[in-house]
Amino acid sequence: MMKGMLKRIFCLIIVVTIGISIAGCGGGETMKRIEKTGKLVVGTSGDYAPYEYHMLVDGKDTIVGIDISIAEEIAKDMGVQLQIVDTDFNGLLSSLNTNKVDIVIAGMNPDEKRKKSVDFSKIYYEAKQGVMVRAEDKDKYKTVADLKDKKVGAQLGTTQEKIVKEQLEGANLVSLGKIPDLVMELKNKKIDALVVELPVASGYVKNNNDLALTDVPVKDDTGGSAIAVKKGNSNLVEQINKSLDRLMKDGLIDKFVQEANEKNVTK
Amino acid sequence: MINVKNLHKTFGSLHVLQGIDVTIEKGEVVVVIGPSGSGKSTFLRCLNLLEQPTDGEIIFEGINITDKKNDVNKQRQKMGMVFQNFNLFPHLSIIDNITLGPIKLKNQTPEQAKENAMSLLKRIGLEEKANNYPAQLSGGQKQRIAIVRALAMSPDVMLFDEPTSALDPEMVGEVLEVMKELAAEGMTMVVVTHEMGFAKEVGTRVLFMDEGKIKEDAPPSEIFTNPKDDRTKEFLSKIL
Amino acid sequence: MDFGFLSEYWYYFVSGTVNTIVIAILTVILGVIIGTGIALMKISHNKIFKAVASSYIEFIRGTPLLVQITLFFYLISLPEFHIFGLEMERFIPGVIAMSVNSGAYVAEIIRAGIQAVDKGQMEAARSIGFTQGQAMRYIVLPQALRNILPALGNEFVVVIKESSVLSVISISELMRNTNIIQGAIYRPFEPLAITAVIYFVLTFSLTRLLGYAERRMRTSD
Repeated sequence: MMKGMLKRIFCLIIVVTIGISIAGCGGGETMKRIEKTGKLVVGTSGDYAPYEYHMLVDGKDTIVGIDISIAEEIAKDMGVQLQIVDTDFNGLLSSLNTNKVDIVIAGMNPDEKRKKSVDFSKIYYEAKQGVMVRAEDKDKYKTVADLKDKKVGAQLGTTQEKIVKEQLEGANLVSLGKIPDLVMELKNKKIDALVVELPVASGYVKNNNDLALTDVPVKDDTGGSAIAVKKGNSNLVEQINKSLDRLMKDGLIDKFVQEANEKNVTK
Repeated sequence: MINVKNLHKTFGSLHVLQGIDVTIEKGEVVVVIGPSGSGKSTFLRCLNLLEQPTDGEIIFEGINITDKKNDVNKQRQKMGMVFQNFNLFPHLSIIDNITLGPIKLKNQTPEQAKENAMSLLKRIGLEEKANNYPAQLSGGQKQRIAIVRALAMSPDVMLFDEPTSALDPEMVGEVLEVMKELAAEGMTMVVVTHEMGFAKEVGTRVLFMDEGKIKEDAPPSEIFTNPKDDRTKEFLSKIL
Repeated sequence: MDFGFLSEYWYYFVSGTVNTIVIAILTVILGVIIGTGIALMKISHNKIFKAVASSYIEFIRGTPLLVQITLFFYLISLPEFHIFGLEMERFIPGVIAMSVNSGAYVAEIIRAGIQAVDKGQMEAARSIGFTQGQAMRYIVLPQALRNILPALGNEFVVVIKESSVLSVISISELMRNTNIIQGAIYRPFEPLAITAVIYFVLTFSLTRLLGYAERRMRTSD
């Protein structure tokens, strides 16, 4: 019986793997699909203010934020409708590769690992990274050396995690899936510092008196956020880059950032 | 009516029935006695295949019910059975206990079945309990209802598996009384019991079983006054 | 502690709670259907049925719900469509995974309930001439139900709590909506505190309701 079951599980795994790899083939198909349906399906993870977050707009649950404003502009340039699909951050790239979404905009950094499975547009926003601590500890942390032997949090599978590992020598990394959980750990003194993107960090600092930003210098090798597209769709990447060029030239992205930060501050 | 040929039953390594041959005719009241573990209950339960015989044949009204192709549910409707622990259905009222079989299996209308059940209940003087539930009845009342439930299917033979063993002594009489009346009406009965008085008074034939075999098969007058088998003598001397 | 965000975000708690309740109800209904089938297979005399039922129960009980949900989500690929604002391509695999999981536990509840019915009941029914199936339907199952219902109520409570795991595939039930609020208002603790209270109120009132129903059932015996 046990043997039969193992066999079944094995078959299952093989079927799934084959399914995913078949779905991974084909060229330029995403663009064709968008044109056919007249709809740009954007995958995002709506718990990452100010990039994307939920809000009631005229009584209706809506996802808003920097990335959403950009997505609206891209759809406008393509002459299609925009549809937002809200998923867990970790599931975004597999949604892309199984054609559940056309593109992914989620404040995502185009690092080497991700570049192996998907293609990226140019960087649309060069976010800086910040180290957040409890306000009472702000004076204790001035340099990278101050974080030695301290517990430093970062979101699981993100650029920030890499920064802790590579730039903060001697710090102990604590990875969790969600930033709010990390913030809670910071407040409860389970961790001592937290590496997050600056726009996110400033949101938290503004809304929580007991949190503060340090001047500990960390730099971002990957350069910022970009839009992910399934491999083999260079025509779509070009189209997106054209839109991004326009937005950057007109200074619209900075405006989006400012808008999002204003909209989002609850008090 | 019932023809048992070379009946064997084993439970694992236990050889409970070791070749039973017996014929039961219409109208007989056959009382099966014997020490505990002699196989008498197993024998009775084989007659309607509640226990599947390991070997041998049981012919009931000309049909070989041990044949694999035979659907025994049909014959079971004609073989009423009464259990030691009554086995009334606790979730059903008395009237529903009695009418469920006739309605579902004999296609009687609920009115027909109810009328029939009420007249049976009247016979045993329990008609006012029709809408009660089994839990509200005494042991003796339960067993009388169980008998009526079996009778409602109009069986050709009634099987009794130690019907008074679980009863308080003061309730044994009322159950035996119903069984006596039944015998007087000419019902064919096979009764496994320790009630020797009942065997003497009502039985037309007594089977003494020991170690999975019928050791003696005789009318009660003979078996109780002049037993032939040594084991029968020993058993009777202990209980009489 | 600052609950000012509620004026803007109360809707997410309400819709999340409603969705959690809907998911739990669907899961329990489907779980009972699956569980009854599996339980009947397990107590049947057919060796293949028995083996299938046992493997099912062992496999489900031997793997984490989180793994099952993720697995089902990637196995069941549906075109997207919405009903009452719920994304069905997530909702359906999620509810199926929960039901398949709950079904294994319900099967054991039902099996135990059936086996707790005195063997004599089946024998009495068979001796009247009922088939195995009829005896089950008219005699054994109605009695088993009295053993099963209280345990099923507990399973309902368990399902409400465990449905929070569905947040990993972004079904907008209570936990997922809590994450959304946490992410939007830059304050992680307060939404979580409210959510804990909501879960507690849900399960506590359900437990009290079940206790009341159980007492009613017992007195009607």
